[in-house]
Amino acid sequence: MPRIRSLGLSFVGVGTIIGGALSLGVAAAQAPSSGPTKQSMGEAELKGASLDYFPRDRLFRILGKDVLSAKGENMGRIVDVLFDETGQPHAAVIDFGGFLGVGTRKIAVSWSALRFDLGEKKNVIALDLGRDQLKAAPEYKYTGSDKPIPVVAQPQSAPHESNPDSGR
Amino acid sequence: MTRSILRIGLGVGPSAAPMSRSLRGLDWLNFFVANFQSGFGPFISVYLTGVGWTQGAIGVALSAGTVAAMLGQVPGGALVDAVCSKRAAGAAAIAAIIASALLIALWPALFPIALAEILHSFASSVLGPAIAALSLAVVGRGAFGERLGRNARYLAIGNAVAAGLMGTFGYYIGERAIFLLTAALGIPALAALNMIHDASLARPKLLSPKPISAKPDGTGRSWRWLTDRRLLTYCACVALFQLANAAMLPIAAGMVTTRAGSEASLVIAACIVAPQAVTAVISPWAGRAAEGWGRRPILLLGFGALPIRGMLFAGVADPYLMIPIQLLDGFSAAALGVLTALIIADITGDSGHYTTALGVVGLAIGGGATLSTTGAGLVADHFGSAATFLSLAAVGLCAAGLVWGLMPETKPASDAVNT
Repeated sequence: MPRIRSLGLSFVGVGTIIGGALSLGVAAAQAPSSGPTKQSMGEAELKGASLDYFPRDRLFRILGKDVLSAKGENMGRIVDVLFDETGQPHAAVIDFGGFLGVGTRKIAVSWSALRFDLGEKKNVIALDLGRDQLKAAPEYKYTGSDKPIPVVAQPQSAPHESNPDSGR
Repeated sequence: MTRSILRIGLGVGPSAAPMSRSLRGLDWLNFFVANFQSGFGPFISVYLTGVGWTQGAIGVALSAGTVAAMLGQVPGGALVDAVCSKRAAGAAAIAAIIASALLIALWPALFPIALAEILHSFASSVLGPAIAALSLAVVGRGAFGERLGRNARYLAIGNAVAAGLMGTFGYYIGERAIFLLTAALGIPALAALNMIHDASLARPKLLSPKPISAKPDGTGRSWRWLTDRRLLTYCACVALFQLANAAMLPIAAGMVTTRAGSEASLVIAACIVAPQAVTAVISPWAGRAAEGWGRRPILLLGFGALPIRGMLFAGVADPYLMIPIQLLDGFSAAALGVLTALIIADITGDSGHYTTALGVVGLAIGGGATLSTTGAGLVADHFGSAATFLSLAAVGLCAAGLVWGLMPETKPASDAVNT
């Protein structure tokens, strides 16, 4: 019984430390941004963490989102995101092709081939790769293999034109 | 077709009018029930992906359904044997499937979806046997093969229509609408069920277990079917068949995705719908032929088509050629769709355990299918798709060989079968 209690106490301690560090990090990262609105809330309720509110059109979920090619072809849906060791997203896994779920293939595409700044169309993500470039790619498998993960990227020569909307 | 209905209608039933009404009810019941099966297949993972589920959570929910489907087969069949009214059992199963479709459409969270999958799996393992038992009760033994042929025909038409409707609804309205449609189609399914005269109530000898008191030793004669060599052989045959069959379409469809252009989805849709057309056309013939020539020739036709399909898939690269090859699946589906219910009726006779035995076969089918996708996936990872198709073809050849070498004819020797 005493052992369990001490464990519990130590968890509370760790939690507080992480919470404090997190609140510092979030505050530092978001200081220059003008988007979020700070709302004062009782410090006691959040244990010192800060709370920001973002406009609905600033943040969005990514799992299950449709991906369209530049030509407007439906490329499938994002089912997973792969990160590298620095914590940056490196690739998105797309459930590609098929009919009613039969014959779909999971294909990992480079994160840099995705575009999120489509202006009005908030519900779709654009991909700088076409159907023909994706269809023959090897399938992505998360489990059951220690082989390297195949990630499809756009050709190096392709100019990465900047979208005027992206700096918003 | 009309002629044969009339013949049965005038020949056997209590009176012609209610009989033909029952037969039409069975036709429509099979048509609407088909939608329930396809409504919960691989498509549910597409839907759950669309509402933001992770792959892991989808896997958990679908596994719950798979496990429930396996565990539910024998109890589901036993339940149908135990209840007096097979029609009531069917109605309860349809109601449960409507509930699970609504749950999926309206409450896509882990617990409700897992619950819906389990509910749907168990209801399905009641519904199939209930329809078989009701069909047997309505037409009697003499016309059962022909009736099963018609059941398979309307099931196939229903499957094809359901795939088309689901594709259209999913594309234009949204995936949630498909589950609402599935739930809505439960209403005409119940109406069709209601058209059927519940003959099972009038034939307790045919379809219900004998009183336990008749067998004081506990190992009553009526359970002898459980160790019947024909049943065990047939279970081994269908398990091997599914081990070879279940993974074939998904792998072929994956190849279509890889090799075809923007029309890939349409080619896969054709691979799903085209064999249903074959099944719809030949099933009634298969049912009549099984009553005339016997079960074995039709069984060999269905099992024989499978290794041929596997070998053709292994050797063909053009995605469009996948469609005609997939037509062979229509022959297998017709043969197995008609003969499973027929052969089990032959074997169990009047033991009163007809649908329990159907559940045992269902378990063998489910086991084979589950192992098939896993096993074929492993082979495909290491050796490629051609080798996978050849392996599946080899397993299918073993299944056909087992039918050829060990599966006896189960058609009762005398043609003067009483109903």
